[in-house]
Amino acid sequence: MGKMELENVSVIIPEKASSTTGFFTKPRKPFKEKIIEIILLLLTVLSSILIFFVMFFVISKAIPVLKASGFSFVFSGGWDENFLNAWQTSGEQSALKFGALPLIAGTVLTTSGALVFCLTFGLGCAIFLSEMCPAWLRKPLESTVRLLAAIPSVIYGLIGLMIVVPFISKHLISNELSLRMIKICALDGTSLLAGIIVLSMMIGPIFIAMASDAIKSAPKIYKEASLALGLSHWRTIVKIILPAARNGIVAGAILAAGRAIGEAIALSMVTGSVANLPNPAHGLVFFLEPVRTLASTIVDNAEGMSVAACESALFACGSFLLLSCVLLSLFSRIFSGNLRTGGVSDK
Amino acid sequence: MENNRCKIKVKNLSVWYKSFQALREVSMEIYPQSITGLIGPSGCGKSTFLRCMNRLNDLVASFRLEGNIDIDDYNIYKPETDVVMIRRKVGMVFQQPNPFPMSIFDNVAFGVREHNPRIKKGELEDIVIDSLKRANLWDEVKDKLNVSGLSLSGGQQQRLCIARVLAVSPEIILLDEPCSALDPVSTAKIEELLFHLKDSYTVLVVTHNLGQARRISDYIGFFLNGNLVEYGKAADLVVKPSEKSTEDYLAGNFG
Repeated sequence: MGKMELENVSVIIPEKASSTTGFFTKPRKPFKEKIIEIILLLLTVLSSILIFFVMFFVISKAIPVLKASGFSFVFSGGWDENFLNAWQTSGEQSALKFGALPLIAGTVLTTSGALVFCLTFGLGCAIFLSEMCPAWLRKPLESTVRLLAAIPSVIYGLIGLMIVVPFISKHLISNELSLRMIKICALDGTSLLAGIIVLSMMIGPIFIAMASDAIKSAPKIYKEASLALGLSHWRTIVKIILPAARNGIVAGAILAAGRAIGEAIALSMVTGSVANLPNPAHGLVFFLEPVRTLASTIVDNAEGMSVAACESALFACGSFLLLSCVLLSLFSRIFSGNLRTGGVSDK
Repeated sequence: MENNRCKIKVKNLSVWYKSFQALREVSMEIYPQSITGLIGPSGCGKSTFLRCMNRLNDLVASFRLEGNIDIDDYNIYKPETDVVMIRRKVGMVFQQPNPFPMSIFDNVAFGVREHNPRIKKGELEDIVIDSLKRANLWDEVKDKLNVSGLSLSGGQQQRLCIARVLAVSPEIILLDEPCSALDPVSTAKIEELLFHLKDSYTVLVVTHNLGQARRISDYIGFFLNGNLVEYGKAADLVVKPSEKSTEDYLAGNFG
């Protein structure tokens, strides 16, 4: 009997091992799961292809102007005259030369100005919201901030146009000043300063929401350890909580910067829409001069699209916007990579 | 209980979180140069009791307290008390080792620098080295002081946390289940370390581990449902508990 059984077993085992449904073999995936996986894969591939297609399209359209202008696209001014010239001559080779320095400067100035506001006042708000605010006040304040972050930018543009611009022209620009500047540019309140203020109002709530989330999710064990060591709450915030939240704060700043760089409508409403390069030699008047950003230019000059040279010039602006997006996302990569170790190198 | 002057005197301490009462009229005298172990099942209030000693419970919004805690005859819950000064005198080590994400040296130097920003470099180094030595960690880390504290093993991290506390020269050290996240070898090292520390500090240890309480404590307090059921010399309490619930707990009938 025993021998019989053993023989049976020895016959069965090799059969089992070679069969596809053994105990240790992976179960075959159900057909439905396979289909879903394939669809998800296709969608992912499709969206990455789309991104590359957008980049390729924008850059290929921009090439005629970028080729003709060379580095002077970045380092020289005169955009408005170039644009008019291209519009009138419609498509001569000489009309392909554009100088976008004022636009690039306008973008950089408005964005960095708004970021300065964010990183000072915004960070203060975030610290208050997440660490100091009494419990009964926190919920209403947080919902307000989130609501503000969701308001469409054109509303901010409208507020800027109705309140900020008139305020600047009434209280900051005197008659003598505008007379003195008349040869350079018209000072009517639409200005770099108005752009910075409106942009700060716009991206501030986004930054505050992200930064206060980051501060709240800083590990509690560090906070407790620091307090138990006899640090005051404030010193704990500065020395322990903010460094621990730095990653999220930087991410918030990058997101805010991304929105600021791409903002077109609100800024075209309040910055005067003149491709003027503010001159620091004018002192504080610098901030009262009109500017225009790359994104606003695309909106404001869109009617020129029918002329190939103008179209290419606007796509050149677009390709610079895309470039700045890529740089921002690279920047956030590098930064978060550095901070994962908490700023300490593990050798 | 002893003619030794007590370091911490707790009188009729009751604690609530919202409407939940976590401690009920606890009175206790804690003696210097000794280890006092606090034992009891989960949720019995022993950790709450410990966190009252350095007012870390202040962080909890719904926390409310009645009664007195006198440290060196000063009631630390007096309204005009500076909690920062209390926490310099009363150091704390947590259940989960929590070194800061900085180098080993900076972890230990952190509190010292904060309390004395103008300290000389040599002096600071002396304090760091001395603290690491007293925490029995020096030999293991002396060649890598600039490496992140997070790269150490769990037991080493916990000793780093003890060194960090020692560096700011407290008088009382609170330990909240310091070994529960550690393996037996690391636990033995920390127990040995605590044994040396009690010569210079008042040590309070919350522990889940009865064997540990027995091995290291001079006094043991047994908590149950927010009450201090029994408190006395470790040798007496373990051998001959006077309360039925203590006896049951020690026998392992509940936990």
